[in-house]
Amino acid sequence: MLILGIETSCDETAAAVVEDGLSVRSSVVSSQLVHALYGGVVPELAARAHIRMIVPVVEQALREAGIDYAQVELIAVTHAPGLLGALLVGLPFAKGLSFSLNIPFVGVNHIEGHIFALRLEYPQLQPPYLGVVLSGGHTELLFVDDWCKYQELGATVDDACGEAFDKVAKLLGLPYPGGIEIERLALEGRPVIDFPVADAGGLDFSFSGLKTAVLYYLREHPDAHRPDVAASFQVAAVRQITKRVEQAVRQTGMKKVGVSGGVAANRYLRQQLQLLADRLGFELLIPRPQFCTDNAAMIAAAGYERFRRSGPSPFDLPAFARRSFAGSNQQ
Amino acid sequence: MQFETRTAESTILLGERLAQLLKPGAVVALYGELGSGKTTLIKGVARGLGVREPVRSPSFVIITEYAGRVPVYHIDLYRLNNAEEASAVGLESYLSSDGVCLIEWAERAESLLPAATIRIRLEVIAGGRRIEIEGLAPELMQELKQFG
Repeated sequence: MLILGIETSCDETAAAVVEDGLSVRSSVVSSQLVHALYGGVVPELAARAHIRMIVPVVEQALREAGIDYAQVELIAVTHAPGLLGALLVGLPFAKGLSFSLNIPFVGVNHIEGHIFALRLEYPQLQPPYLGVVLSGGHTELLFVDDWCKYQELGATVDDACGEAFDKVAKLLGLPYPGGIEIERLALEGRPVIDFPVADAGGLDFSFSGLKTAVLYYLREHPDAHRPDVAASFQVAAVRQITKRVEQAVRQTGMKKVGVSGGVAANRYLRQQLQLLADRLGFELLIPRPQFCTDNAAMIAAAGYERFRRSGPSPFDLPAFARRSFAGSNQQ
Repeated sequence: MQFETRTAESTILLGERLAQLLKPGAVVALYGELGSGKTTLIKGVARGLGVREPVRSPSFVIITEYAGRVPVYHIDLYRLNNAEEASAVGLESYLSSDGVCLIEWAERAESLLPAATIRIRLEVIAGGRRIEIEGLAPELMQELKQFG
């Protein structure tokens, strides 16, 4: 079965063709196309950008997969959570396409997509496993009981993990996106500053206090060695993640931990998680970066499984800016 | 009117009290650097408006809607550059709704804000935050002041 995946929940307009939920035939993300098509940067956030990009991105995905519209058998589209104006580009587009091609469509939760990024990288992977989604907009710890069946164990109570990286980068005068800049700067420094590792209670996360701690430090030490600040921040942020993962592994007894979302590309995080995996004896699974960051292949993979289990979505499926992730079980 | 808070908890408390004075349709614009306490104050306002769930930073999604005793729109223009981009994400339709709009980094869309906007400036000072509120009706200011 050929599935067309469509993702417009935030900044990226993305489309992909995936065969049988596992084999990626093409995966196009708008940021790769912007320059070629428009010779400049479009305001990346505007829903209008999605409107401009969606047709060229979908057609590029079909072209790269070597198929045309008539061969698509299922459309999978992100319908929650995200920027409402952005979701309201992809979802109606998918519905219209579904209607005109007379093929089914299925709505997918964006975070569920991140979980299926694992399956794209490791087709043999079988739940249960512990899912960790770390991105600019999401920080989630999930018990993946079965494909399409999840239990939220913890989430951020304030800032998302990737957001903390971006905002601290800003405090340090580094360009956006900040994650990679912090990682690079941290390599030149030593983690000599003792920033607090937050405890939000249970398996929840908190990154807002760490941001404030860095702010205070920079105010009190205007001449601080920036690489040391970056390295110290990174240690505190990553330590919070490894601590929660350790707690969750101990509580659930999981032998497999799958980490996805843009922050999973951070090498220091990967290294620390691997050390933890070796110590506790679990298998650490992290997909390649292009599956970790927002993409539509993961949406197609998730949509395929949803469709297999519970059929197509109704045409009145709404978009939700925000949705309790556990709620998607009843979808 | 100026307040000084020493802890995040007291900033939240101030927000809860401010919430009691807000009417449906109110627009509250917050100004202040990263880490100055905008989201913390909003946590309090949302709680005071009857929002039960945790208020998370909306920087990534830009607009988060909560169900309180009125709809609460937590809007964060941090990643936007100007009023035109704010308009493109539909800011005006939230501003003219019957809910309460709480807007972080409001300076990015100053020209779209209604005349009756309540403006709050937050600043990090030694040992806490200075929080300056303007645009509340004088009798409400008086009420807020009594909370001290």
